Amino acid sequence: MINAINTQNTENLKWVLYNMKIEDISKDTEQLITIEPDDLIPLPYPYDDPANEPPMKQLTEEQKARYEASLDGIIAIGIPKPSSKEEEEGFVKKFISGLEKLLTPENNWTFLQPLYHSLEYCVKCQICNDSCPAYIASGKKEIYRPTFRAEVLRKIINKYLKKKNRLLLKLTGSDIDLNWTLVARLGELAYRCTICRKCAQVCPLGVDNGLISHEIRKIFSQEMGIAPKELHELGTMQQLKGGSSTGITPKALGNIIEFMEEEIEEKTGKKIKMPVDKEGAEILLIHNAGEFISWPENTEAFAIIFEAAGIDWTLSSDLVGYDAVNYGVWYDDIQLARIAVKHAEIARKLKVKKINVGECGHAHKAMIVVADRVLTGELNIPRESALPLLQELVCNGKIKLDPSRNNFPVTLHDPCNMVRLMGIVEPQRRILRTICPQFKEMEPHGVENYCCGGGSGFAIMQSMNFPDWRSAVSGRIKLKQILEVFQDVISPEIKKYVCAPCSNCKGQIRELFNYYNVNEKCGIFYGGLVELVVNAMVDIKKPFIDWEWH
Amino acid sequence: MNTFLAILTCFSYCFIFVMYTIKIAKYLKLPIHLRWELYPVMHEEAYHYGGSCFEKKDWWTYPRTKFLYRTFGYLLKDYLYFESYLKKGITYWLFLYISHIGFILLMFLQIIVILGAVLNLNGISVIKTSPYTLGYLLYFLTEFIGPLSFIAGIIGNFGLLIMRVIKSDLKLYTSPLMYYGYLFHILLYVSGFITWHKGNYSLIQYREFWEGLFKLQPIDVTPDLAFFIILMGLHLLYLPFTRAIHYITRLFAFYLIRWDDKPNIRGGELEKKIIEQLNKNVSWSGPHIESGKRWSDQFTNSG
Repeated sequence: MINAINTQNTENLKWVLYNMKIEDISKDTEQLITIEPDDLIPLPYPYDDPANEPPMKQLTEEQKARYEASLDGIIAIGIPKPSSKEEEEGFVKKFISGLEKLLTPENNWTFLQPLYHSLEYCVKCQICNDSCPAYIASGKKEIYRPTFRAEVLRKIINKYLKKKNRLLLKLTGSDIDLNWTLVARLGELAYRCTICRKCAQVCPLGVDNGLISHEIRKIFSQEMGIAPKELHELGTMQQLKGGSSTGITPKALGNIIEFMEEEIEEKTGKKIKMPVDKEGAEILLIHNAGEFISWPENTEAFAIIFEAAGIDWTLSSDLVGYDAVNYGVWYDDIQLARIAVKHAEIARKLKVKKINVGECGHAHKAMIVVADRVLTGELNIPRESALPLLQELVCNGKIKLDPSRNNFPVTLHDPCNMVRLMGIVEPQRRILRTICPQFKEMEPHGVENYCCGGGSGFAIMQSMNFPDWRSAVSGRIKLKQILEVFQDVISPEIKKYVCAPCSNCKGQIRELFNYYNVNEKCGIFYGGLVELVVNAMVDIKKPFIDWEWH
Repeated sequence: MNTFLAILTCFSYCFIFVMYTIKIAKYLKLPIHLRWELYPVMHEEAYHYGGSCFEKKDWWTYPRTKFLYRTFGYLLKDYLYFESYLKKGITYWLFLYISHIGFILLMFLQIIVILGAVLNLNGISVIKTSPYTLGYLLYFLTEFIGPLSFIAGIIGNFGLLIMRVIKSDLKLYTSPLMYYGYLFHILLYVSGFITWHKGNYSLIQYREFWEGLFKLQPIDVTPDLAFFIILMGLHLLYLPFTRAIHYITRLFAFYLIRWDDKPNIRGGELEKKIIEQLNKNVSWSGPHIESGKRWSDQFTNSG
């Protein structure tokens, strides 16, 4: 049915979608869906007129000709189109071989049990649908439904791995054609889910459709060698070889630290020497290295607080040791383990008592929780979030604070990795309730929060028109929440602050605000948690938060 | 016919027992996995807002207190009234709830009929005028549970069938086999209801049929009961091929995955299991992976 529609006529496409079958993912059509401004869920004032929705960048004909773009006209990975029949067949074979490995305990002991459960026990009740920010924001496009990609994978397994007979395939609705189009679309589709796992949280049977996206990504990376450049080549590979996914080398780090020390003195009058590679320190503090480049005020604020409280801490200048990120957690178990082991080895070498992770959600989850079952023996060094320590310093009066310095509207974004996936919910709230008199929660919040839209690597992925999709679709619900919580003070003259204690979330919020010009139109600023703490410190004369849009 | 019904019944009970044992064993034999928990974790102290031990500084220095009773309470509550399905809407919840009540009562009915047969064989008559309280109670319980199960099963499955047909989000994901499942269940419950209605109110003959099985002397039954027994046998043969075992696997999903926050302690049992996995060879063939080498060997390489 979908074959008949090869035009870009929106009305026709809508008709097709209404009648869409899951198997249509393998049909040779120009594009499965289109995203129109009218389809997107409405935003509150001052974005309540869909006519003012920024147009999403369209791919050029050349890009469409070179890369797979027939899913939704968006390119996240950039899978090159095959140049020969052999290449096409090889691509499909490689996928099937990866899928087979994914279902073996040797190759996938890391996630086999959760994967097995999610593949076998979904009853397709669709309760999870309404918790998916991308599905809801897109106006409920079928391909973004959390159960869609899982169902495609099940059908492939039934037909090509379990090799059920034709009658059974018909009866189980598993008659799907496996071809290059399907595999390439499925690869792209795995990058339309932020793996926020809000869908898994509401499933009565414990099925995890976010995990399905994660596992599809693993087939592409671990078997086919395909992953978004920003996650793999410029991400984990660059981090392992050059020290950081940002490209910061140990030498450059030295210069950055010098710069930060000077800036601290300039801003606060305090002369602080940031400890680096201090053997036997109590805490090895590891930041997301993105902070050094994009938000140095965050790492400066940590140094100011730790020095004021007399904490025995250090940074590391060792390769990988100054970058807490571990993009492997989103797409590749081997890369995840390699980076986690490196972090632990550095801590062991420095003989620190524990590792503290700065304001980075996925680094929290990867280093403290997921890697817990990779690190053995002496590598199993105590690891914790910096937030409980900050809570102790702020709430027990170890540093002197004046909350009136933060007397402006503040709301808190809950990074999924830290909150829903780790249960760190209250420390950041206790801090905000202590130092921000106008702190207000967005709804829903805590473990029921919505993803910022930049989760699972989206915040750093800059491929072609993907950033527009990320702002207009996956980040839309977060923008809606932020606008709603500040609706009574929405005027740009009133300065407002979204506290996001996570580098990736901050990156996403920055892009989201840029896309919709939120800072100028609504006076909403964003930043981390420690900046607010330092802003309230009584012995610092000038405000630490400068409200300048970077 | 008598022998056929007896063989079918015995075989179907053995079959489902063996198949479910295999399925459960397969699930439990899967290797230890990386931590992938989701909050709220019900055994945590701060479960009411989804908090975890990671909210405490030096969390590893505190004793791990698991409030297990709370996990049982949570699951029991959800088993009893399917609270999480309410998110899908009251109509869906209602039919789903009723159909599950029908199913649970049908299983319960089997148990009390078999129990009644055992009691009868031991001289405790299960009849309306039984001098034994247990026999008397079982008689009326069967009389009550039977129709309740059949009516609930018919209404619930019919309602779900209709919803699967008319609601586009459900329809797209419903396979022909799932429709067949609903129709089959309706037929089963209808046949049970007919048996019950045709003068067999406490399913006396069904109890006698079970007595015959125990004595290895299959008895003659009425055609309507024979039909019900055949469908019941087919039902048990069919169940292992459906997701009906989610009653059990759901527990695994919660305890072994969603709430599995067991920390890896140096020298502990968990660490031993992890080391065992890390010693396994990897055959992934991505360009950054050393195919054929152990997991632990991969860590010394930067790709």
